[in-house]
Amino acid sequence: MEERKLTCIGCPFGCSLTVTLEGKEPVSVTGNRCKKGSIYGKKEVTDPTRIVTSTVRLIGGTQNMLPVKTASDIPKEKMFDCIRAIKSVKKKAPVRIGDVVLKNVADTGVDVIAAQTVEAQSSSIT
Amino acid sequence: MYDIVIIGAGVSGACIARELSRYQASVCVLEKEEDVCCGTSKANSAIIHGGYDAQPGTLKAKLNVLGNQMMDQLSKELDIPFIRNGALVVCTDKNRLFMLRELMERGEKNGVTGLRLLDREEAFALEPNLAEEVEGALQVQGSGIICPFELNLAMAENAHDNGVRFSFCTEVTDIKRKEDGFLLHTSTGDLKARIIINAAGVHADEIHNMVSREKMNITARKGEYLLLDQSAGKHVKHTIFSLPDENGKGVLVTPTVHGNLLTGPTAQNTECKEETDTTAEGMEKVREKARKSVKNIPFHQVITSFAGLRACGETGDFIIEEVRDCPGFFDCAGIESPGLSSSPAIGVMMADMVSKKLDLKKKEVFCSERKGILKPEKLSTEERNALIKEKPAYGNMICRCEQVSEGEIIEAVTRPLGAVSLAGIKRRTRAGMGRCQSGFCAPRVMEILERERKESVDVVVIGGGPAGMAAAIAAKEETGGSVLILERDEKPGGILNQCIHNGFGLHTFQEELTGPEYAARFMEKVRDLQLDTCLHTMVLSLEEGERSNGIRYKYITAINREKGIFRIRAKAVILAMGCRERPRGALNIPGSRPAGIYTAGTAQYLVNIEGRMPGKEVVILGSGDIGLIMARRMTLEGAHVQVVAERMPYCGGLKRNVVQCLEDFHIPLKLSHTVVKIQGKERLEAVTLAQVDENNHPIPGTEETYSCDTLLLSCGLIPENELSREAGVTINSVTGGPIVDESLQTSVEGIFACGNVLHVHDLVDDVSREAAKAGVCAARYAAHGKTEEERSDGDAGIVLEAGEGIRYTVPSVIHREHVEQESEIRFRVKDVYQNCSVCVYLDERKILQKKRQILVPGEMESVVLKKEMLEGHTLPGKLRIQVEEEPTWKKEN
Repeated sequence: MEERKLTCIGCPFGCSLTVTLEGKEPVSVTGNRCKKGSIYGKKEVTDPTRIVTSTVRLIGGTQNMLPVKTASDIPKEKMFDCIRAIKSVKKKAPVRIGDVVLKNVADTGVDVIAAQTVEAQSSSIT
Repeated sequence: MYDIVIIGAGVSGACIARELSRYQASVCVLEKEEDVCCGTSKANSAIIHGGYDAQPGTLKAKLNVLGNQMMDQLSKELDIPFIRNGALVVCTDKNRLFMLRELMERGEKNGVTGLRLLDREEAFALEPNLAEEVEGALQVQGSGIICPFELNLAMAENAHDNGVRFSFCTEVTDIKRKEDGFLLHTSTGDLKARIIINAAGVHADEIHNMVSREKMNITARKGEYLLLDQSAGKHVKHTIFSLPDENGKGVLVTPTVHGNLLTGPTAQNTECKEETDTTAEGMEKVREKARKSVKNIPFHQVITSFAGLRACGETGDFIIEEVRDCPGFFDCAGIESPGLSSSPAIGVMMADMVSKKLDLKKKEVFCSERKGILKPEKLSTEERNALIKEKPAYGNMICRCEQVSEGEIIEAVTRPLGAVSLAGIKRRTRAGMGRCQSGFCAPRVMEILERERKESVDVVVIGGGPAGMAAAIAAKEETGGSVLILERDEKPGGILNQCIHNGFGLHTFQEELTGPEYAARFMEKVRDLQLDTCLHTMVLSLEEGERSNGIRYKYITAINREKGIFRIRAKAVILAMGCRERPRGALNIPGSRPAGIYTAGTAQYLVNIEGRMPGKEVVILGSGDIGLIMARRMTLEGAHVQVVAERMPYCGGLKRNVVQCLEDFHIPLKLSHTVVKIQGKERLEAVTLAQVDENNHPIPGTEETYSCDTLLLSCGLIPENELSREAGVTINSVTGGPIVDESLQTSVEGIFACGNVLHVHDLVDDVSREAAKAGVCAARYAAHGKTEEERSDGDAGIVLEAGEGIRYTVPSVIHREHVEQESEIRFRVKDVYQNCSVCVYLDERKILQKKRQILVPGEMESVVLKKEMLEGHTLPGKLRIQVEEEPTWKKEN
């Protein structure tokens, strides 16, 4: 029996979790306030994932950078691959919030999407 | 809680308000329209009747005579145009001449003097234009003509000068009886009153029936009129009546106090209580009946027709009484003719009843005088020239027919209870009342109205970040009043725009959003609600202005490219300027001053907004959330973050940021460490960290030097309260933000604060919620202001004390009577506490105990106090919040 101490990130409370493992299988989670903690605890020791946020260069927009994020969480170990792939992207304005910026990033099956609406330079935001 | 709420700002409501303003009581008048004098009071014959007509013994008879007698003095005191032109009641049928005598006898019974019977000859000697058929007349010397708008306005303005509040566009939708009075639901929010006076005109039955089982019915009886040009104004000198019948005093022909000729009214019961349209039949009837008493009326000189509604009760008399099955609720209903003539006496009678009921004492100081709008035509040429020299607007003629200058229109808009519409300006200045009926002046008047009104906004929000947007949205949704956001940046959203990481909105939207996405949700709402937003606009100063109608106005001076420096007049101001980071210079870090040292937020701006990396080898001082977030961001962007040092023995940021931003990337966090040396001349070359002891002194021998090109500082945020201080707002020395009460109102009436300008938050969701509260309270203040009583309550609130283990609380004061259901107290602890309780004491009596597994200074905490918990304290009362248990933090390294 192995115990792993984690901090839950399911919500801003940040519960201190204790996950008990039998071999590689999590058998119990304690210290959580809600079921998110139990799900997170088990997941974090077996299949940790993260939402990745970054920026891409924007051409012809009212700002130089466009904030982007993965549409859902991706495996934690793919974070740097994901960031590298995002870095190579240049996007043309205008962009709407939710527009796909990069499909299937780093072979995760997850798209990178725009997190902000940015108008083209000629039109003005009112 | 008001002592007295009067429903309706017509002439009855205004006269009652004025009489009650003689007493020591808080009085508020609610009016569903935008202005005073919008119902029956604005469209009638404008006559102060002699009092001969009503049946002896009725209230109508008594109050008409009394009202008529009061009018000369009122005209002088309140600057109301009033002329005793006398009246003739004419009879065109020899066989009915006896009725004139009966009328005279009735008048004498009512106490009317100056009544005289005239034969045909005597009548024609006085009025040559009487119809040939006239056989005799009753002369009523005491009858007069008045401007009904001016009477209504003067009463209201004088009441206002003496402390009565007016709340316009406020329709009463329901009334509930409570132990200590009444709860009124209105279109602009709820309010409480000990006494209600129902002066709602044609709607008085609807108001009455909200509280009484003995139902009332008011019928609206329409009367149509024709108004003739001033060139016809001398056609008769007296007010000419025909013999009254069961429908009223019949059609009259009269000069008006402004020199026009007026004839009407008809009498037609209407289904709808808003039906003030004129009809072809009605207008014909007026002409036909008028001709029966006066000949050769130049009807081709009619300049307008209009209709008014009489509020007719079922008893035939005025209903002025306390409602039998609802003590404390007074009706002033069924005020049909002679209502205008009786109104001053109605005011006295009602004030007498209510003051006895509440055992009110007279004020020591009552100002009985009121000056109307300056009328330049009454000045000599020299005086008028001097006026124009001083105020050129008085030389700019706007209404040619009635000769009204821009100066008078400006005064009509800007004086207390000022006009808010063209009609309001017309009633106050006569602009638009002449023969062109505003054809020429309407566009110019509109322009002046817009210009003069624009500068007064209900709620001005300073700052368009998360707090400002949430406050503005809530303010708009609460009352629908005007809201203006002033934002320094080129787009709203504030710091959220550079916070590209996710984790925002879990509480507000139940999903994890990035900063720009969270901001976008609020920006969308701001757009949907069409809230005015001035971007690229910096506020230079904020100061208090005049007090008017329960509101302490604020003046904001701002600057932008389009308008230069400009001023805004606001009823309420919400401070939402956020905070700034503590810079290196304020941290007293010794060493050289090379490039490469940034606050974490500046680095965040450079990376996320500009797309520039500030450096490659990074050390971070301070474990605030932005520092942790930037540790990850810099790492993902290719930099090497060597270490995060924190002077305190605990982390300043949220736990999950420690996990996701440091642990995920194996970045060490060194608690109880600080920077003791900075090296490098042009560019940063190295920083030296050392461990600190319990007194924050570096421990010799613990120094470690990191060679790096970048040092990021995340050492605390400082609320930006320079503007607030200038405005006289008291600042809490612990939070650096304003001291506020349960409504998030600062020490300056009408200035509210929320978000990081108030105290530094960890979570934007908390900011949004707090800001929405400030928005609601600010909007309510802008709509209702504060009564004298509420203002004097200012120091009677319960004071909150940060007890053992508590660094500060927000709010600092709670006024129990202003707490709706519960009040949330936000606080931070001084240290790390485990397995402890947060306890709240009211005057040493424990009213709340909440167990907490862990409390850390880096996370804001809150407790919710129910209103009933706050009962039974001594005055002023003291609330103490404290942590119970010993601190048991452990150094983690």
